[in-house]
Amino acid sequence: MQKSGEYKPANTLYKDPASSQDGNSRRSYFDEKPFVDDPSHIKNARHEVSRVYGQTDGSVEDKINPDVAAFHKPKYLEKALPSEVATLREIGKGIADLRSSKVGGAR
Amino acid sequence: MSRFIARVIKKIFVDDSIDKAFSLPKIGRKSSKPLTQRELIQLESHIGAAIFGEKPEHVVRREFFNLDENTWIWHEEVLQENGKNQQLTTKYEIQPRGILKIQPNYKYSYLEGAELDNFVMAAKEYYRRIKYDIYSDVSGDDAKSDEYVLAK
Repeated sequence: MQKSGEYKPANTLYKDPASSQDGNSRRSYFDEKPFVDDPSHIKNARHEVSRVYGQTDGSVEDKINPDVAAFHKPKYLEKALPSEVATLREIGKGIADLRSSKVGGAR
Repeated sequence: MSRFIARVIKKIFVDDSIDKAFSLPKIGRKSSKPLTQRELIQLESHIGAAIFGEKPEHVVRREFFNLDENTWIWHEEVLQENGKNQQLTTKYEIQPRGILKIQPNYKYSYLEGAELDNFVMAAKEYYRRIKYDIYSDVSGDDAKSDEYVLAK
């Protein structure tokens, strides 16, 4: 039982190993399915957005705070591919092509 | 991470000494003897290490090679004052965001500034040298594509 005043997050990936019902102490942060694959979490998110913004028509994407959306955007999408990366990839492909033309035996 | 790199180094340079590396079959422009990928990487690494000039006296061994399309390895063995060899292996991963430098003890950083410029320069020189010294007999040598790569 949860004691009064004790904080217990209702919706989290974390499972306390000691409290796992199957007694498996190997459980970790990633034993649960990620949010993105679980429709129930999306449903919960829609409900939360609707609650905050008073939105009920289901088009939650338009109502999400742009600052929050920017925060969740992967960093590598924020800027274009660095020219050094493109150059090194070209070189890597060039070397791979050279090797494949020369390799004759087992790798 | 360090275990992974150590395994890679060991796999490519299996119990070989510098002498053995030197004794590898030389493949010139006229040689068409097929080699394994490991042998090719050994040859490339010998050339790659030479990009940085003569080794200082305390450097026992130096390797620099392209492991695959997105990975470069720098390996150096240094003779310490106590007579023991210290090994340092650095892995460079080509990632969308930049060049991730990975060193033992969980040291991660993206290359930037002069270090990034020098690394790109070394990679270009590596490509130019191995193409000329090892693969120049490859048929269908496309000079235009070579220029395209090196001009960037």
